Amino acid sequence: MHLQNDPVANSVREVYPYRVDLENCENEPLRHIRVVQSFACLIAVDSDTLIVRHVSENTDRFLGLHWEEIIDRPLSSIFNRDLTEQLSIGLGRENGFESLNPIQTLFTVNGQQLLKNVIVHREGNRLLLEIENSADDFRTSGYQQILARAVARIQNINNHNRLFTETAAILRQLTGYDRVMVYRFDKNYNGEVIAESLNKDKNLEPFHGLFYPHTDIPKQARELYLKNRVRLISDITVPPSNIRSSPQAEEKYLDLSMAGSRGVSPIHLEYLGYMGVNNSLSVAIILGDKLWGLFALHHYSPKTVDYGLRNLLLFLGQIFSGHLSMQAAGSYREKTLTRNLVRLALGEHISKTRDIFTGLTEGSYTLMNIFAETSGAAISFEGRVETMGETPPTDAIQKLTNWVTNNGVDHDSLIYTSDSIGKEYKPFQSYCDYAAGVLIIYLNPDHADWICWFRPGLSRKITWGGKPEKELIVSEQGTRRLGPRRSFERYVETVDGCSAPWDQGEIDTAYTLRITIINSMIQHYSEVKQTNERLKKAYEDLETFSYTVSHDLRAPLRAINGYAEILEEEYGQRMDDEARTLIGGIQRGVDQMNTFITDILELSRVGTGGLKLSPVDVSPLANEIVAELRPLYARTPDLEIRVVKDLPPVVADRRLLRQLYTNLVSNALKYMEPTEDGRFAVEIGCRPPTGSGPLVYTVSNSGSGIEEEYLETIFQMFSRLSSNSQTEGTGVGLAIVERITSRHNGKVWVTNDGLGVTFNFYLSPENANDYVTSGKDWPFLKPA
Amino acid sequence: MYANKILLAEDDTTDAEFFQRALSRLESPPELIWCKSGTEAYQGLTQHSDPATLPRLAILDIKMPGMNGLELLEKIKSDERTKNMPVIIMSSSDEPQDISRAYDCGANGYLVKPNRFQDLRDLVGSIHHFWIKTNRLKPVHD
Repeated sequence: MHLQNDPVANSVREVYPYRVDLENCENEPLRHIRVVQSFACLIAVDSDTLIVRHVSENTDRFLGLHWEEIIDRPLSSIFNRDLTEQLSIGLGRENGFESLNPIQTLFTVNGQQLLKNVIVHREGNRLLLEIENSADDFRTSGYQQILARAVARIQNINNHNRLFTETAAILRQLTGYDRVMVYRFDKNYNGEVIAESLNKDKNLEPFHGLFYPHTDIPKQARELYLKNRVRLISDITVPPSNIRSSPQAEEKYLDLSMAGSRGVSPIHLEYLGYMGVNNSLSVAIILGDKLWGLFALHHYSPKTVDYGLRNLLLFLGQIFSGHLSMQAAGSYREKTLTRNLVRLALGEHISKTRDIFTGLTEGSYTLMNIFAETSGAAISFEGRVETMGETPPTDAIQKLTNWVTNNGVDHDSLIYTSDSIGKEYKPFQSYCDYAAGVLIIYLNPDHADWICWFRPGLSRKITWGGKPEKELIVSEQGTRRLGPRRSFERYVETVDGCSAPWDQGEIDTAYTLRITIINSMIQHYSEVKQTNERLKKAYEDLETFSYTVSHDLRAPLRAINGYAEILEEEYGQRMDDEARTLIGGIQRGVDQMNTFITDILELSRVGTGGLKLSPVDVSPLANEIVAELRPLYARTPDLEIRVVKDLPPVVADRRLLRQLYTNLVSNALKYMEPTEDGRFAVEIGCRPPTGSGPLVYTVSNSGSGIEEEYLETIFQMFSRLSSNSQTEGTGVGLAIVERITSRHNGKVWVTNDGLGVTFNFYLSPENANDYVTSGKDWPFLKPA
Repeated sequence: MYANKILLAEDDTTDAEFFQRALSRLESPPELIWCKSGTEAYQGLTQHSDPATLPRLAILDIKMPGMNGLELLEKIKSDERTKNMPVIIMSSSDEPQDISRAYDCGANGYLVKPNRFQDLRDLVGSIHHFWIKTNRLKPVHD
């Protein structure tokens, strides 16, 4: 707690239109302050009538006239003719008074003729005239040489790193200030002293490298810098002069935005006072439309700064901004060029490999190369997620992208960046080491496919020029308010969880990369589409082909078979045993070929024609098939074929379901092996219902199980488990089963359980629910 | 009375030969008139002004160059002179749509060509027995 003891600040407070303290200083109406600094007097006139409506109380010091002699009087009665003529010239010009300022005029004060600078600004229907002393030692011609040299020196600084330091030195030489700082704002408008030049004789503490909180220069003060780029606070110990307004003035408070002598906020006066600064001069450095930083000049004793010098500094500030933006543009171009090369390489690689994952993660350029300091990257495309480098777990990344979709971006935005994601999305706090920064691009508007990059957390040490806190101040009258911080002791803060920021160039590249990827993928998709169409055609052709071939193959087979039979019948008597065995061989070959053809025909039939769906009772169907197949195994001893009673009905094409069961049961019979007690068993049943999903039907046979490696391939065409040619079969039967289940949106797979080997399948044809008869009580579905 | 003849329209020489052989094993086999195409068969049939000289049965293959079996069948069944002659389609196809198309065109029977000669012999025996020996079909006029 401190007592308020700055008399100047207090005097400003007294005439301030609003209460001002740190709690509301963001809203402090700086431009409406009702005082001017003592280095100038101010007169505001109506631009049409040129009658004075506002005037500062200190006119007698500059004009030799009391303010009461001025207010509500026409300018012509105050100024000489020469000046008023200049005013009318300025009023007629498009750029106003810019090129006229300062108008140097002689005034008689206390009998002395003194040269004064008159600076004129137009603000709406007001003309602001500031009259200040003209420095005796200021000669424009001399300064022009200094200026030319300074400009040349700044422009010759090629080394980016020395630009700031050298500029600071040049400015100090030019102005004679004790301290010249180059002060740069970060994106939150905290300021950092990035370069400094000090008066060696004064033994000053360097501020270089220090950070100042954004509250030190509040928003409206920053906005004023954009309008009025040079700000002089000439001597904080001299009380300012009040502004008197005519009762006939239209406005209650005069807008002093453009006035160089605009009074200083009491808060800022206190702030400078705590720092020990008597005089401060700031020049805005503007890049684009933004306040990039300031030249901040401090002097520890009173100092006169002529308007001409201030004007020169304004010009140097502009030169410097230009130089800076040129350098920035140069480095932007260079970085953009590099990033674009990587971007194009990635696009080309996607086109070449026809795969977004391969294209972006393999080869000489990958996602890791496009942005500097990338620790890891991830791609999500059509449900598949791949990561590279160091990243949080895939599911965490997915949750993050969902969170961003729901909270972080407006829905139309396809890009998201953060340099401290852990602060915005808590679950990422723990990944801050390698994923403090994140950049996400969404490939499509529904945000399903995305690419993201991560940047490591930088453990940054910020040295504040004093603890960035406000202090409670109690006035002598006992009122409390928050004052500016008084402590400028260094205060080191470690900030975790921040990555290097994503700059605009990188964001632009991300946008274009997104387009590049989409274009490469579109090309890829049209190729896939064409291939699909060709495949579809080829598939149809194949079906026609296999149908035709199967029919046409039968004729020569009948011929071979028929002739062999006729040969045996008609000449059998005359043949010896060996000849008859040979004829038997021909016939067996023909039989095998016939089975082949039948199977291939069946397979081609599964693929064609629509499904005729209906609910089919499974148990009776299975019994029919068993009745057909059983006689073939009449000679197998101890064969038990069991059909589970009352199997629930399934919605299917009856003909195909019959084929499916025929193939599965004959497959089971073909490959069954005796149990330990020498019995053979086949069972047709189903798995216990799980409550959700379609019911799984089974055909199981006794046997030792199928080797792991065959479990998948078994359903492929012409694959046979046994290389033993003794086992009959073409290897098409299970392929047919697979085709039938997939035509019913179902699946078939094999497991080594049940009686030994179990074939499982389910069918879930579209619109199956239309057929389900509700209310029927299937004993099998009752819970056990 | 139809003549004791069977017409066979079959472009495949081997199939025709087997049919001939199977037929020849029968007791008192009917005479086989073998036409190698649908067109030839139709020309042959339409030459008969007297139904009594028509074959007692026509057996047609489906797949033939030019006029196929089903087209021939339709012509036979739409011609006043021949429409009462029984026609059996005999094809290697067991496709349900082929079978039903044959019946739609007016076939009196559909038989799938057996793969084994023995089976063909049995089949030809049955055909002979059913369509000719038992003489189930009334002649057009006595």
